[in-house]
Amino acid sequence: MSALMKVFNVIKINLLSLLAFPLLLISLIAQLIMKAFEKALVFLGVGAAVIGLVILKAICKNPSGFLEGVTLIIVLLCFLGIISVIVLTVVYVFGSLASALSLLLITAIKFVLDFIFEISYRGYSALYEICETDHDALLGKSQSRYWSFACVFWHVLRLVNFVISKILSFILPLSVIASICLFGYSVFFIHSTINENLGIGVFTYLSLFPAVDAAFAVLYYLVLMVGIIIVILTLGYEWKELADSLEFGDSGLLLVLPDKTNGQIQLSETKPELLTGSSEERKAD
Amino acid sequence: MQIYLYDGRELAIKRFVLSMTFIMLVAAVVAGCSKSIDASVYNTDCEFYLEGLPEEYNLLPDEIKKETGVWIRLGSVTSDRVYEVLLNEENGFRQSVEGLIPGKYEVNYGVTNSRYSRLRVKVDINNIIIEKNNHYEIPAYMADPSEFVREIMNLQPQDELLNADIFSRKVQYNGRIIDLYNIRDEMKFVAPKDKRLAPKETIEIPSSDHEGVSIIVQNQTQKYIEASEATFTGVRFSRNNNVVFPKAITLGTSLRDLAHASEGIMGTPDYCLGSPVVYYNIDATILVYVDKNSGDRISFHYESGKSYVSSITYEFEKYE
Repeated sequence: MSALMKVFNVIKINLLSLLAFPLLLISLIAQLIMKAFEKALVFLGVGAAVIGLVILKAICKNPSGFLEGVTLIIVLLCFLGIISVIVLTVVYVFGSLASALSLLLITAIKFVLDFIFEISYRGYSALYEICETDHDALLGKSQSRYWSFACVFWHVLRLVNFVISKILSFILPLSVIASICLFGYSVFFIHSTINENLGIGVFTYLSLFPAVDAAFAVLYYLVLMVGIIIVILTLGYEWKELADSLEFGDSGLLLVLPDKTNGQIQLSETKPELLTGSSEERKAD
Repeated sequence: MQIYLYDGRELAIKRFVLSMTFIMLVAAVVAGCSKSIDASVYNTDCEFYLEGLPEEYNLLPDEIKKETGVWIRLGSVTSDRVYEVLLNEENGFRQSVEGLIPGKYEVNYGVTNSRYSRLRVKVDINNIIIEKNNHYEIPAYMADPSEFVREIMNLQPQDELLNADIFSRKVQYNGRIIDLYNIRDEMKFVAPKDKRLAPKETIEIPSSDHEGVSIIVQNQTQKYIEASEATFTGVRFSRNNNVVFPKAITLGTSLRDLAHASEGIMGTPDYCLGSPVVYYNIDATILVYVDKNSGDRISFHYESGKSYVSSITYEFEKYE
C-alpha cells in the first residue's frame, strides 16, 4: 500500500469513526428509553398509590364527611339507577378507549424507538466494519504500527464501546447505589431545610403537627421515594438485561444479541454474518 | 376485498415508510418543527425599565421582593409573536430585547406579587410600531409613588410596638396603634343578613371599608342565632394590608424570621396545622402560638407555594 493510500485510509477511518459515534449513542439511547417505557406500569402504580393516599387522608381527617359523601353516592345510585348505568357505561367506554389509546401510544413510541435503533445500529455496525477492515489493512503483517496511532478516533470509538459495555454490566449495582444516595440525600435535604429554617430536627418538627397530618406527610414521602427507587431499580434491572444482550465480538464490535425472552432485538437474526463473524473470517469470505 | 402483497414488496413499503419517518424525525430535530427567522438582520432593540422606584422598596421583606416583578409584554397585532420581559431586583428592573421583528405590537403590563409588594406601575405606551434599524425604549413608571412610600412606611413598626408583647392585643394599622379587641370601633363590619349560626359555628365577617381585615365571630350559645348576635372572638388580617404586629411581624415575614428556634421572633410554635411541607404547592401550613396567661392564640398562615406569612389570625381567650 502506498503512503498516499495510507494517509487516505487514516483520514477515512477517523472520519467514519467520528460518524459512528452519534449512531452508537442514538442506538443505545433508543434501547435504554425503550426499556424504560416497559416500566410505564410502575409510574402508574406510584400515581395510583398517591391518589389512594389522598382518599385515605380525606377519610381519616373527616370520616363523617367522607361517609356522608359515600352515602349520598349510594342513595343517588339507588334512585338514579338508569343514569348511573349510563354514566358507568360511558366511563367504561371512555376508560377502555383511554387504555387502548395509551397502549397504542406506547406501542407506537416503542415502534419508532425500535426503528431508530435498527437504523442507527445498522449504520454503526457498517461503519465499524469498514473502519476495522481498513485499519487491519493499514497495519498489514509486516508494517509499522505507527499508522495505527494516527487513527485516534477509531481507538476512541473502541474505548467508548468498551466503557459503555462495562458501565452497562455494572448498571444494577449502580442503580442500587443511586437509590441509596437519592434516599440519603432526600433525608439530608429535608433535615437541613427544617434545621436551617426552624432550628429544630425533623422529628421535633413533625411532632408539632396532628398525628394524621404528620403520618400522611411521612407516607407521601415514603410512597414518592419508594416509587422513585422502584423505578430506578427496575430500570437498572432492565438495562442490566440489555447489558446481558450486549457483548463484544471477536473484532471488538459491541454486539446486540437476540432477546432471550421474546426475541425483540432481531439484528443478529437478520444479519448474523455481520454481527457474529470476525473480521478475519469476513475477509476470508 | 383483501390485498395480498409479496413479502419483499411489503418489506420495501415498510422500509420506505420507516425511512421517511426517520428522515422527517432527524430533520425536525436538526431544523426544528417551525421555521426560524434570523431577526438580528433587522437591527432592532428595545429597552424596558422601571423608572422612579422609591428607595423605600428595599424596606420590604426579602421574601416578598424575591417574588416581585414588573412584566411587560409586546404582542404582535398580526401574528402570535410575543416578546415578554420581567423586570425585578435581580436585573435591576431593566432588561433589553434585541432583534425584534418589525411590525405593530400591543403593549401589556402587570406586577407579580403586587398583593404583598404593594407595587403598582403604569406604562404610557399602548401600541408600538417596530421598524428596522431602530432602538426603542419602553419605560414603566410608579403609578403613585407617594402612596407606595406611605404604605411602606406604615409597615415600619413604632417603638411602642417593637417593645410590646405579641399577646398584648396591640397592632399597628395604617401607622396607628390600635387595640384588636376594640377593632370594631375603628372599622366597619357588617354581618351578613339572614345568616344563622349553629351552636359553636364560627364565621368571618370582612370589613366593609378595610380590605383584608375580618373579624371572627362564634355562636357560643346552645341555639341557632343570627350572625350579628354571635360573640366576637378574633381578628384576621390577610391580603395587602399594612398591619404590623409586635416585634415587627407583618404579612410577608419569612418562616425563618418568625419561627426559628433560637433566632426567630416567635421561636418554635406551640403546634402546627395543615401540611408539614411549607413553600411547595401542597397545602397551607399554620403555625400556632398560645399564651398560657391570657388564653389568646395567634396563628400565622403560610399558604401553599409561599414561604412567608400570608395571613395572621388573632383569637381571644381560646385557652388551649
